Amino acid sequence: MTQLEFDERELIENPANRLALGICLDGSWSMEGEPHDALNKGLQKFFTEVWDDEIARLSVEVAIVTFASNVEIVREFAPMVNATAPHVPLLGGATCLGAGVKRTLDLIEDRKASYQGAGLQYYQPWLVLISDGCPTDDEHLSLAPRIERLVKSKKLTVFALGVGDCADLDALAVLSPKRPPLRLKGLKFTDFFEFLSQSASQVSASQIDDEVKLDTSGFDKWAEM
Amino acid sequence: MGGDVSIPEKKHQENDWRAAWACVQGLGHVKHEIPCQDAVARVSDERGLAMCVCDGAGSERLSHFGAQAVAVATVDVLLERGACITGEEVLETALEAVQEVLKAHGGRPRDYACTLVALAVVADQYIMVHIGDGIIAAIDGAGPVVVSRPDNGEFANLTVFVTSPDAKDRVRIQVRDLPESLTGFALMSDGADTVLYDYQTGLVSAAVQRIAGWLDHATEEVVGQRIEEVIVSHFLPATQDDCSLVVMSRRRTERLPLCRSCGSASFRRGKGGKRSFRIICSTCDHAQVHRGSTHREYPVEAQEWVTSLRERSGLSVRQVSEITRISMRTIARWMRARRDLCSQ
Repeated sequence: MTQLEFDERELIENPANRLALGICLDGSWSMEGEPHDALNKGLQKFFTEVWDDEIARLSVEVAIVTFASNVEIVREFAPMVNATAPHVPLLGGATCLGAGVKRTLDLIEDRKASYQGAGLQYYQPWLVLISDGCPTDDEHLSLAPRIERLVKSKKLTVFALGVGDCADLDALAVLSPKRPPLRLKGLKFTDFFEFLSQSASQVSASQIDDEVKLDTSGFDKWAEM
Repeated sequence: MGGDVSIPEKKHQENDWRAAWACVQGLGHVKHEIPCQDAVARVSDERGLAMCVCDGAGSERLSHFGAQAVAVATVDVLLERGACITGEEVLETALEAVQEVLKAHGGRPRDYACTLVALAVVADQYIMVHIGDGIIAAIDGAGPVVVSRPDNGEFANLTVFVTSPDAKDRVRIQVRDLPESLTGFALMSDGADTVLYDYQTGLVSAAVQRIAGWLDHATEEVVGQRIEEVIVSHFLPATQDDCSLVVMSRRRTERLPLCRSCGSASFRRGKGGKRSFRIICSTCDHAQVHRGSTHREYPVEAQEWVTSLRERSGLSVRQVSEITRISMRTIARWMRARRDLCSQ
């Protein structure tokens, strides 16, 4: 069938669609000890799982912001180059939740702009928010309209997680208007981050469209239901 | 394969067009035990040829039923209404089809959400309807060009479906004249466009023209099988998604070789052998050089010229041989192969 020849050199190689995942973490002293260790272990698990997924590793870009009395960018948005997660430090005594989330949202917006400038296709970005306490100021309240607008117009997916009995889920709910925040079961960060990496893999493989419907069947493994 | 549906043809094709396609389940769908959510439908009769590709929403488990039902209903209404059709009519037809299939399987209309990429060739016009992602390309002498782009809004994984609340504002419909120079079309879902469409430049791969050209050399069935082979070997590894590709091609007799300089259809043979086959325009002396892939085979343009002289100009084999300086034996062999192809 020589006349039905095909030349694979004519095929196009499009860059992978990008998934920007902004992880915003409470770095206050109340996390010191076991919770902080478990958090870092869970984060490492996430990086390992994403790196091991040949499709997700080309898609997923992670930024990590931590907040306490001040805000620190632990990792800027960048493609994955290996499975090593950065270590998230503890910062201080206060819990400036609003400032931390604002910085993460700004990073996400900037990253989207750079995708647009480079002509890259991208998925709806994620904001993942983890805190064990109550915010020590009201800045998070002023962020509510911005987040509500983004979530309502399907421009952002938010996932909020409270850690321990002192976590203020109402404050987190202000920042997660569509999906109610969950409380972590004990210190099961690893299970939570495993769920997160699986969700990221599903998005990267375009298994999730229209709107992000998470597989909630495994939630009770790591969340108080 | 996926949702491959042909509405029973009323009689043998009585139009100038042929089509081939394949619809293949994506590797991600196989892994997660999701059926192929793409569907292709076709109808071809004396009114024309209509093709439609629908891609069911990935997150909706009944969307493969929606894709199949909407594809079938769309090709039917396109040939029925022809160039008078409106976007609203297409959408209404699609939603009626969803309601019908909902009676069988239950749920809500959004469970059957799918995109819609359709094209019909009717008389001397072509009609395109497009809701959501996927691509329509047109092919002429200069190559393939995108005539309808994906509608993704901002995000790669969010598109509009026939069941979306804003579908009526986002349905795109175009009716255009069909020039002689337009020889083919391609329709594809968003899995296939991963390797056939450059998202950064907006250009479509030359492979689309090559594949549509297969219809000049083999039956629709054989071409469809070959498309499936190529999808499995080259498209699926690049995407987790279902891949569907439809190619449509105008029958060769209807394609005049025209002078690229003045548009004349009258030529004489120039100097040169099979590797460098020269055709000179009798009107403006513009020379077209067509290169055969080997020194044993004439380029396909030589065969096209011979066919045109025999079938359109009604010249005898001897007369054609004198004009083209191609042996009578070769001309007779081409004509026999052509008769065999057309009778399949």
